[in-house]
Amino acid sequence: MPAKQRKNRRCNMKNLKLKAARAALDMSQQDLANAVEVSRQTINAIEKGDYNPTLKLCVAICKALNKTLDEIFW
Amino acid sequence: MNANFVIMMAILAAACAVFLFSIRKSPKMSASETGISTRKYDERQIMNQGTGFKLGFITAVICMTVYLFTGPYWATYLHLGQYASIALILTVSLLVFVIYCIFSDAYFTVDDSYYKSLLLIAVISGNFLLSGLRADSFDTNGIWDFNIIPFIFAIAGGILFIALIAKHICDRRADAREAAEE
Repeated sequence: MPAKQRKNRRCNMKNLKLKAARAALDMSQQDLANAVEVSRQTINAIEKGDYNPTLKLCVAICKALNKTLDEIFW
Repeated sequence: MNANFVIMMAILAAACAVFLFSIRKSPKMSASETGISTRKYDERQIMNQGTGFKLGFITAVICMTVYLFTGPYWATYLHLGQYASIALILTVSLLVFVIYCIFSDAYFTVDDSYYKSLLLIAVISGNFLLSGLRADSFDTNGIWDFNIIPFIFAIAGGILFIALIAKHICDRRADAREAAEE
């Protein structure tokens, strides 16, 4: 696999922990987006690994999902 | 420098002042630190808007540079006058910014209505189209100049309308694909 492709793959690692935590609470992406006051597309981008959220948003997501930062984003 | 040019510049300056004032006062643009406001862009959207702004600005600079060196040929070969050319350049760069924002999900605020925005764009574009059609003649001595500007804005509105619909269709397909995966 070429180096550039490997790098892209590393950067776009899906956040399955977030998806699982959200699904465990039976929340849709829109519900979580409403809870942390961002757009649904932003939650989608975080789950797909297309966007790295700021610490402020990470904390807000963790509070909404009743999880710690380690459990979701580490 | 004739009187028309001075009036034109005064109108342009007034329009810019109104635009800047409306941005400063807009609840969309002011991120409140304490209260919960849903009429705002989130952090990813603001970041993407910054990238879009850079692209639009670079487009404007490149087009202006091209116009600086090839301006007389625009009138000869494209039959575009000075005002129409400048309006075209500004519209194209604004379109680059807006279309980038649309396709990176940074156009609508958290609770903006998609259909309301579509309706607003359709009304504004239709208004420009009608005001363009009211002109007696579209060209002056074979050169498209001041009277063609409403058509440029109407076409830009049309492009925006199509871009919004295309993005909506893309989103629907992506949602359906994700739902199937889950």
